[in-house]
Amino acid sequence: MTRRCVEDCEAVMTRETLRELVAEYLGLPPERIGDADNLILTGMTSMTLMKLANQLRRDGWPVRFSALVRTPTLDGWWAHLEQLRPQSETAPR
Amino acid sequence: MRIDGIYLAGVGVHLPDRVTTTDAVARGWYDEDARTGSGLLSTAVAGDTPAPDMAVAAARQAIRHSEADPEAFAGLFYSNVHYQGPDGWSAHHYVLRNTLDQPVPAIEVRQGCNGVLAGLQLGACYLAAMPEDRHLLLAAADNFSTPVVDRWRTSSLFLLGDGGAALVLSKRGGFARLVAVGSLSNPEMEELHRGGEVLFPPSVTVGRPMDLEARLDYWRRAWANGVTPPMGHMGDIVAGAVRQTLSEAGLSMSDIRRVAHVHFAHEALRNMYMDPLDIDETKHGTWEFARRAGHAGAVDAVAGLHHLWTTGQVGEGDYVLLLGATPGMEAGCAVVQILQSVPAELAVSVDTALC
Repeated sequence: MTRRCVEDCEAVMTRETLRELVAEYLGLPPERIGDADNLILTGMTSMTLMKLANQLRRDGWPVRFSALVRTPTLDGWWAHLEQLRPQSETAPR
Repeated sequence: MRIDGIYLAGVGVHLPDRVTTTDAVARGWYDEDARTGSGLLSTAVAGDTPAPDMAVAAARQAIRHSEADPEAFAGLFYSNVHYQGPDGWSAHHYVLRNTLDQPVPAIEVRQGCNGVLAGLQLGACYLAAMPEDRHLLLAAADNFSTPVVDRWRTSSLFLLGDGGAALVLSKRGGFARLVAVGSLSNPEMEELHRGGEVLFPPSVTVGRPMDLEARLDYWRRAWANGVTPPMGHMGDIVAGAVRQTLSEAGLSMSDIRRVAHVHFAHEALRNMYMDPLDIDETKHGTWEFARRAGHAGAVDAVAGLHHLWTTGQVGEGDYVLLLGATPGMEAGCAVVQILQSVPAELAVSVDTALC
């Protein structure tokens, strides 16, 4: 069973804040992170991804590392976070 | 695995002289960016001292500390990572001959850098089947000063260090008791450390160096080309092993005074070990010791426990978590409770220990 976001984390995370977070970890301006860009080609490494996963989990998002590895794009990671939102909330942001 | 009636009766460590990372940069062995990024200050380098001789030195200390009669030992478990001596020769029987010198089994417990923790798991069961007055010697040692590996550049996760460490496990009592031990693996990640190399002929037999960074580069390139690498979060394995073992011990992370962990570079240690356990390497770990010793294969956790105990950073009643890991991937841990603070004749100051 997929674990879901259990705190009010979804209130502060939008696609744009995820883009800013990823950009910060890559040391790039957010506008350099396209929705479908392969983030491995923009410098994401397994070590940085572990660090990012730790950060997201601290923020209340129980991300599955394998899901982040499988789809290394902002679109892919945002879709994974959407799966982790409480089921009662369906409105896209 | 909860353990009853098994104790650590002796501990010994042999670490050779350190080479500083600033010196290594000046000599062109190490890169300045890597030095500042890793936070590592030095690593132990044994030169031409054979690894089994460092195991013997550490084991003799541990046996002396335990005050156990060599005739009361039920065997020796020896762990190592790197080549020990002539092919087809038994390093573990060399260590046995030069320590206990008794006609008991000498068994290599080869599980990478988790070897001693695997030895604790197997050893606790082995001793449990023995009469009450038996002991078991656990030893580990490596010397990476060989032509097939560059200790400074084989991995960005650590600097390889040399050294030996030993424990005496006993049913008769000791300075600490083994409370619980366990490990967790993720076999899907086995392929990660192959990095596209063929299994046969084995790389060393055709003179190919052990370059772990090159194998990770193989997966980085594949990942960039749309191939999903066999990659899990090492922290998930570490946290899983620790959670399970603490639960079996009836303890939680807040009960653990200190953690004796693998000697990794700062970011890797933080991301793969400390953050997943929600602890701090400077407050809970052995970072100041680790960043000076180097990653000496299976030696790290025992060396860390020895450091914490002999410097008085842990004492009577404290719980200590020993933490190791190995390609495979697998993480292992053991919870020990200190029963006796360090006696004056074995005590050293932190400043001396960190020199």
